[in-house]
Amino acid sequence: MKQIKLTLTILAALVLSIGSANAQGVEGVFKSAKKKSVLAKNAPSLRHHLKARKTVLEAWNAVPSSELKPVTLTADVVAKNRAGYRELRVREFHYVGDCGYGDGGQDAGVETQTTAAAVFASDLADSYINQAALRGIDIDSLTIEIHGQPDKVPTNRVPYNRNFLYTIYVDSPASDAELEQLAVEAEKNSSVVTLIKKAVSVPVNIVYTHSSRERVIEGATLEGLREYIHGKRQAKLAAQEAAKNNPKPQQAKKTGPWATVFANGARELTISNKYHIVHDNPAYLGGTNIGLTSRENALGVLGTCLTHISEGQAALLNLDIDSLRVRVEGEWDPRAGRKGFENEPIEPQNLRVTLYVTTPEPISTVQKWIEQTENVCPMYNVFKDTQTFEHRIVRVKRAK
Amino acid sequence: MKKNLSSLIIAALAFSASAQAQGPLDIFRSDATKQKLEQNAPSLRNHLKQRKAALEAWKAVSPRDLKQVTVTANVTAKNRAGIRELRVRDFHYIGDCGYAHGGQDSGVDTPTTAQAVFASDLAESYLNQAALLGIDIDSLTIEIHGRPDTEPTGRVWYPRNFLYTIYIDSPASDAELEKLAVLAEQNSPVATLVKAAVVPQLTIDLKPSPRERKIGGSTLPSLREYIWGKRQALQASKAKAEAARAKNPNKEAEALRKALAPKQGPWVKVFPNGVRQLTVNDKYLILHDNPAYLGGTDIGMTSIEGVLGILGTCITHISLGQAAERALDVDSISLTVEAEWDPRAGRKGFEKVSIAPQNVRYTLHVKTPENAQTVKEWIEAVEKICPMYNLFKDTQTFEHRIVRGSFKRQ
Repeated sequence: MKQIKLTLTILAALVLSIGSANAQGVEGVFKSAKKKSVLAKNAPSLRHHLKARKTVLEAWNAVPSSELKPVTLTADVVAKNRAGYRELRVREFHYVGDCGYGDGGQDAGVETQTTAAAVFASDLADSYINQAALRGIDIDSLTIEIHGQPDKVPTNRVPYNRNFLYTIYVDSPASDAELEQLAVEAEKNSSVVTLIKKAVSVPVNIVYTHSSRERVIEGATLEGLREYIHGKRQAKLAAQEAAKNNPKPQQAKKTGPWATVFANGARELTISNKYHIVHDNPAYLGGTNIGLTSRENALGVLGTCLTHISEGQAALLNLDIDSLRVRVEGEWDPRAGRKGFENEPIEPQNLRVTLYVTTPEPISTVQKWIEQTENVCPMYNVFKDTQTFEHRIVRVKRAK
Repeated sequence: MKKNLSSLIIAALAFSASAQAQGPLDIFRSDATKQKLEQNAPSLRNHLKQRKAALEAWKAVSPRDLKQVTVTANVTAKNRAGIRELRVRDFHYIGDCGYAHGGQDSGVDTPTTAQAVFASDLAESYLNQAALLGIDIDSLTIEIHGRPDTEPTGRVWYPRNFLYTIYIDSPASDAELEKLAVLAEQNSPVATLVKAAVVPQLTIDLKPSPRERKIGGSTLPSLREYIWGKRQALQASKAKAEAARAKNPNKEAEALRKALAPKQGPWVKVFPNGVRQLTVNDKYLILHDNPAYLGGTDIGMTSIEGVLGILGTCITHISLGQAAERALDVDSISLTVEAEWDPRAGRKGFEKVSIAPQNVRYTLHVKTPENAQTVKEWIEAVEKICPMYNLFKDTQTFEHRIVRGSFKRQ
């Protein structure tokens, strides 16, 4: 693995921090930067968190397998009616996924592929923190940025983010060799990255409800999902036309989303430079359950992508769709790696999707529509194919 | 491509929320192990000790090193969806209403969020007081709701006469907990702001747009069409309400009484790391936190910013509704709410400076083919009925009670 050291001046040019936008409002109360940096020490410290996490992980690792059982993880996605955007719900947590105006969205939420990469980075960051805690290695700040890279050899795969390169921005007194060892162990122990690296074909079950073809829009019967999809068709056809007239080759982005570890161990995912999702661990792993786990969100991004692409394919096929919801489930076994369960995989197993649809279209049309969705859905294909990850480590000084 | 349709079920199964199992929280075979392992979570007592040190360092800062800042909240009516997006620094959430009012039930409603913001600031202030006085707390949740007026006031509808309940686990005496509550309310910038009569000052930033508009191709339905749809929804709701009133004249009054007397409102839970989680409409979560200098991790906006936010989402929402009522063509609406907050308040030489944000004002950025007079009349109508505008404009009251133990949702 490549390891790169950059000087602080070069780092200053990196767009990894929205710190400049942060220096407003309540952040701007100090007259001098010096005073600000003194008072910034009031924040909790990541080193302190790592010590607490070490104790926690040791207690967790000492739990006998007989006390634990596998659980089903669930992520629910609903295509929100006239707005068309996707609402993800995992336990009590939620976020909205959307696309831009050009694709018939309203730019009101996160885009799935970028979110997915951030979810991978978040799980890697959590795993890195675990490894550092277990080994007693101090870390003062940790941010992981991640993006896909073009195929070196043509693969004929459908377009989706792949050949992931993630950069670990770390402030730590540890040696280069120690930081590299942490990175290798972190990736090995990341349940999400282990899942994504493998080829996992996810079965899609369809739950079909027939609705009437006739529909009168007036009064309280406002426009619904059906009209959203008709609008999306207009947008898609217009976009196709524009692309024909002015073809732009797709270029891989050089910087992607990132996940930052807070001093309390919670992780903040920054997506498309303007949306945040918070990930945390349950109490038994030393977290405060302030957000969903990265493992749950990995199921979530499959759900939001399938829902989104289903809407888009329905638009292209000119289908009438009145409601659309997707549930993604998988089993996770916390006994994995413990005595008697040494061969149990650490990643969620038996991934499956249930797609609930209400439509006047016949079942055969629905079947074809969903097959076509599977053929092009980026996340469905990310899961179906094997994936690769590479990393590099960049030392930083904690932003003051 | 491999075919992955393993089965095809023809049914109309409900998407039950109950099947939203506890997932990763449910891995233990016995409650005893679960409880034991949950002690792995950080402790609020520990946090309070750290907060005491942070607050003492903060209080020791000389006012010469501090300056007043402008706090800003931006709200955008999102185009065809009509939903309100609030942005404060790098934080955001979505406000929406239900389908019957032309929304899509995809975000928080403002009056409920507003109460949660008040409770969040009170919880934050309670923690500060406990930390400073060295009183241990093991858990803290504040629930809040408004109550009907005891005497008719002729005020427009908004939640008021607030009663908040402090659910607390602490070894402290009843008298100590009560003292904390009184000090917390006195030191809450948000409660102080809301109690005072504050008239938000308006600036209109009007940009004309053409009256003619063709929808087709990439020109999809937009805010203008959203407002037309909202007009349909509002008219249908009104017709329905009138029909119901004709059938049962008391029913509406009963419904209103019920709406004015909720038994449980939104609530705010303090995490053991000091972060606050607002639960709004039983299903949306918003996080509040402090900047580093106050011992926080800046994981969410502050409640001071949150309170400007709810003024902005409410005015934006009511503007959409009033544009629908008046059949106006409006192509874009966004709002900037600003106020000054002075961190020197209470320090030497600044004893008289208020802890509450001052000079609350908003700028309405609007693109419309309507003329300036029509826009002016439209916004006057908005200010007349907007719940949060009037909540700010009028004085408000807060009462509290303290309940030992954990909060339970109804």
